Amino acid sequence: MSDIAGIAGNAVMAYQNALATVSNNIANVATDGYSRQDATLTALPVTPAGNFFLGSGVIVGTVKRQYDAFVESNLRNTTSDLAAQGPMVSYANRVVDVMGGPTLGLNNAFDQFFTSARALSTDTASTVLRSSFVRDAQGVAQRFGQLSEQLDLIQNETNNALDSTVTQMNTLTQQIGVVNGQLTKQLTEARQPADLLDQRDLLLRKLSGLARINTTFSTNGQVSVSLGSSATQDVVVSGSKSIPIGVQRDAATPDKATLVLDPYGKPQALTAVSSGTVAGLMAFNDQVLGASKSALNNLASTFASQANTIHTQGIDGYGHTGQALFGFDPKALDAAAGIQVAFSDPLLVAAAAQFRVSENPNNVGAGKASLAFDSSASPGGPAPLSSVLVNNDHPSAAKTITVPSGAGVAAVATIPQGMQDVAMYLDTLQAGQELQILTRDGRQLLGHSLAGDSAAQASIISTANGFAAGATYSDAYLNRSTVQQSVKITGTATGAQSFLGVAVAGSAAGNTPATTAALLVANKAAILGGAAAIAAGITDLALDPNNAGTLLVTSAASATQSAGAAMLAASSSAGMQFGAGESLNYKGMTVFYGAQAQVLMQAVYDDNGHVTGSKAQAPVLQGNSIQALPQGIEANTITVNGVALGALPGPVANAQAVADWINTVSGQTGVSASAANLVTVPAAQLKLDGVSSLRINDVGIDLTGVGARASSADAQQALVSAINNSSDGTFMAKMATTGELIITNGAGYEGQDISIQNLQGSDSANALGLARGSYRGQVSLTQPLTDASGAEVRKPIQLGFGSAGGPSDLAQLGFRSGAFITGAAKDDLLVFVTGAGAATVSASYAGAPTDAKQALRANPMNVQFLSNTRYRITDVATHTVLAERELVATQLDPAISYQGLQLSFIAPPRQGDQFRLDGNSDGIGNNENILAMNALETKPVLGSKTLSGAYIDQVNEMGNIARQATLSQTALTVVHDQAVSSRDQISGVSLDKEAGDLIRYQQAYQAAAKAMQVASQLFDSVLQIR
Amino acid sequence: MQVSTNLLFDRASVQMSNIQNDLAKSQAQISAQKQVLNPSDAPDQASTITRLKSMIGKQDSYQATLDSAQARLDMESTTLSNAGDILIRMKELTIQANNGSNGASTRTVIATEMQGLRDQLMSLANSTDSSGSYIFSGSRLHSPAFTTDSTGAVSYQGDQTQMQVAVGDHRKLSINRPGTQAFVSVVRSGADGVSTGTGFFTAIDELIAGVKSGNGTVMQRGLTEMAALHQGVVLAQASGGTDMKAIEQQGAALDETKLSLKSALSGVEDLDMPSAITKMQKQLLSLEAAQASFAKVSQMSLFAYLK
Repeated sequence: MSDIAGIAGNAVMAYQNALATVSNNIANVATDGYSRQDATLTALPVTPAGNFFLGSGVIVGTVKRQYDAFVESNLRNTTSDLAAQGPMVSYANRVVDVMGGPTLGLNNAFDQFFTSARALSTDTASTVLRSSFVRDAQGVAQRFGQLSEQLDLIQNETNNALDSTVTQMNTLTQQIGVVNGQLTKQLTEARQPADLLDQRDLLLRKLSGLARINTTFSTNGQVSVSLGSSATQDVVVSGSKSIPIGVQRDAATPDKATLVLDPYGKPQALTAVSSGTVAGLMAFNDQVLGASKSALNNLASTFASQANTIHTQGIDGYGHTGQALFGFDPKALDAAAGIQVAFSDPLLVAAAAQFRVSENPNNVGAGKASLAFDSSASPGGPAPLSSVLVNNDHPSAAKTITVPSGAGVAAVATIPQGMQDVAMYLDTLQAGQELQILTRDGRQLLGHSLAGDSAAQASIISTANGFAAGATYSDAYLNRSTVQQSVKITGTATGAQSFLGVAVAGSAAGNTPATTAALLVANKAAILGGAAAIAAGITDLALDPNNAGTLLVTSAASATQSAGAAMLAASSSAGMQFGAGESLNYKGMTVFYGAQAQVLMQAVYDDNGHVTGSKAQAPVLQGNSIQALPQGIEANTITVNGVALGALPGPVANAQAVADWINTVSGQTGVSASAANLVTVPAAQLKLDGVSSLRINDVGIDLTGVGARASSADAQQALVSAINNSSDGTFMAKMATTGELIITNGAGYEGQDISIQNLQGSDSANALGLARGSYRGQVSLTQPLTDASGAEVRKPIQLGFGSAGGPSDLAQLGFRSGAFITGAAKDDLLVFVTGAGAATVSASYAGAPTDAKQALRANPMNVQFLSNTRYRITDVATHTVLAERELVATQLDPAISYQGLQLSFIAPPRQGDQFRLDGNSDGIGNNENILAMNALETKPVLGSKTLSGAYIDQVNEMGNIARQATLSQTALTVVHDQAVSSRDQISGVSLDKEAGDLIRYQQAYQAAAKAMQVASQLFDSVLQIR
Repeated sequence: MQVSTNLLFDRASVQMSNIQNDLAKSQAQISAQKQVLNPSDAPDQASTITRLKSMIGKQDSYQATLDSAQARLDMESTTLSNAGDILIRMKELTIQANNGSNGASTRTVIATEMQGLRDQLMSLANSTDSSGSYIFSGSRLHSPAFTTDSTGAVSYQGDQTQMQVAVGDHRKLSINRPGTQAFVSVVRSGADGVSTGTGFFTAIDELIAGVKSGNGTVMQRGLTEMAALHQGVVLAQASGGTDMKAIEQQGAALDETKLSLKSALSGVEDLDMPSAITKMQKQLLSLEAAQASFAKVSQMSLFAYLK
């Protein structure tokens, strides 16, 4: 018999447990992560009773946790996706509101800046407007700084958020590890305590909000978690072990953060984090914040560089070239944070144009000239000197220049303006070959005049060779080795005249200017002897052959190269005026072509070896061996210090004859020549083998015993003795201190040729190892440091060419000729070689090219129209004619272009019109540059975008990213909500359902209790049977 | 389908807070009367608004430029008109002086008056504006346009710079005329056929000297030259007048541009009040409905019946 009481007892127990489960559910209705539990009632095994079975009651089989692994995993994934959008939405919106808002946005600042510039353009003289321009420039810079600061704040926040998120992740993974440890106690998941599993799932869900995770569950419910796309990539929890994550940042780029797995163990880059808050933060950093910051920095540096380019092209209130308007704080990390206005003085605002044209008020033509400067124009022509030739004038460093026989000219190099002390040598040259140096406008400074040779002019002067378009040739400034000025004498001399304060003898009343000039030249000894003339450095007076009544005044190169007017300050005369001097040197430059020996300065030392000063050394010009000159030398081929030498009839006997010839003009030049013949034989060249013999000047040398010496020094000494013992007095030998053997003339035979051969007179070797032949002597020139009056004169020895000569004539006399520019080159100079054949060119130079624009600004120029079309450009300071060209008047807007300056006219100018071009140092009212600054407002500087256009577009782009994120967030919220409700359907607690269960179990419980009561009554009934 | 109690409450609260957010935004829009409160709300619209505002500001700045150009040109015009009147008087005086019946004393009287007029012209040519800048000196605002040296020769000290200002995106106007364009030089043909220029004041000075000395040739020449000088001043005045006319036209053009920009801005930026208020009413209604229905639903629990 089945036991009613037992069944009822079991049932009461079972329903009690079921009720406990329900009330546990009700109690945990609001518990986070709680999964509803269900008591599963199971019937007890039946017991056989005869031929049938009776049930034996019920027990609670298990309390089941309502859970679906798939739904849970889906919830985790949607949580990750939704969380990834969070940072993007909230932070990106903040970036957009900061950058696009009216208070912090850049647009207002830009607008204000350009408005100020526009206001300033109406009155550039106003200090108030200048100040407000500077203030608004500061406004832009500050706005950049503020924006950068705001973005940095957001950066800091997201950095902190990332750090704390990663810390949370580490805490969670650690907790999961602990839970996993607890779970090892059971073998199957079904036997695990439900709350432990709830805890596991809650932790996983929290973790998935921070980063998308990949989970693998083992049979006992332990979970291993990875951040990668597969279960084995980037594992963070495995069993009870959890691996921490770290954030790494580079100090230089704080906005770039990278995640690292196991930062304190085996660090490993973590790249595959795909969603969750961490990925959202990283994506924001990268796509929005990083992009915004780099766009802002780019904008700041573009703005600064554009504004600076314009500003430095202008002239400030002090008349100087503008400085940079914006600078960058070197301590700042990026451009936007560091941009600042470079000055606060309003007068430093460069509002004016850097060049100006002023018309002569008495101009006849209604020219209305306007001037522009184009710095981009490249004049072309040969490459700069320093890139063509090394700075070494030794012939071994020379470069071969070949002039094709058809062309007649080859370009060598351009000497840029500002190069100092340039010397260029032409060696191994053919007869007729020469260096020619011209300015870009055809002013020839060095070389041989091309005045009569229009074919040569045409082949040299072309735009391809670097000349200005329309350049014309002039040799007015050719080879000016001393400063020469022409002084026009006007009026009629009526009484005693003086020049530089010195009375000129022989003047008579009623002299015409031409006669007066001639008289001054005739009496130049009296003038040159005067103290005033010496003070001014005047060395010569001559008549200008091209202009009657014009005196050419030559001064020493070392004298002040001031305008002639200053030189003539002391002059006075009745009825006669001296016109202002006009420099005949190109911009006062001293140039020379020929052989030159400078006065060298030698340091003077005191007893302690300290330099106390320097002492001039008398110049010495040492030539090489002369060449055979059977035809002699024509008159006016060679000049010594500007004095032309007469003819030297051929054949020329020896070097002494040349020296004597040069000495014929010593009285005028102060230069004395001497001849010598030094045949230098290096020790290694000697052939002291006992076989080779020697005959000098037809005297056989007894070499007995010379070759048998032990050391070579002894052998050389023996050779010297042998030669001197055998000598007939026309030659002698000696040892140089440097070890060479020298054969030279005997006393009284200086400069004569020395013939050297062997005893047989054959071409085979002689004891000196020299080729058989006659060795010619050398000429040496010296010049004392003092003149006739005993005063020190530091002038070089200059061996130049007359009208009939050229460098090859100097080469015949053993002198190396070159083109010399003393001091700085005042313009770009073009160097050519003329004359067919190959020659080598070497050069030495110092200094560096100067800024052509600044030089142009510093030297005002005058444009004068000689006729209605022909114009002349003159340097105002030196009166140098820089260019003379024709105006192409057929153009719609006739224009003159000079070194980047563009002078244009509305109507063609007329003869006599003058225009002055200068650096605009006082035109404070000029507003051209500030207008250029204004044009920056609409100038496309960033691709096709203007500054503010680019900025607005950037903000808009960020806004669209934020907007996109918001839309994604809305969509993902729906998905997430669905996942939440799916989980809730299974695991959530519904009070209504629990109430139902409660009633159900309660009733069952009551029924079971009733059954117990019945059983008890039954039992009692049985007991009452007495 | 089972709805858990938690979910029921969560959903209801989320929905109500959403409606409340919308309501707050509508309320803010209405109180600010703007469609876009933050750039992040509508980035496209916000950038359009920024562009339009910046363009409107630019028109204002052009207007300010026009005003200051107008002031300068007014000043120049007044000065030139005075100079023109003086030159007419001088022309009359030259004609009077040229009358052969005049005695030396009459000519001296005339010459004295002419000298006075010439000095007036000089001071007009060296007029300064309110900030002390010489208006006929080109860009050399700080030096007088014409100066007299110790020998009495007058020379122009300014330069030929004609300043232009931008008064529109593609419109520039000159705001000054160099002194030599108003006080022009006269062209005299020399014996050799080459023309040379003679300065304004030099020509007048020579005429006055001619009147003093009774030199008929000089007076005759002065008569033609005076006409040329007057012509120069009148031409300069006319050229300034043209610029002023252009300012007037440009001002009207700016106003028109600004108006159209403003209406475009209003279209983008301003809130459509009736529809905004209607929308807000709707939101209010739905919030009330949500609250009421939640109150009812939340009371519904089986436990309430377990008594």
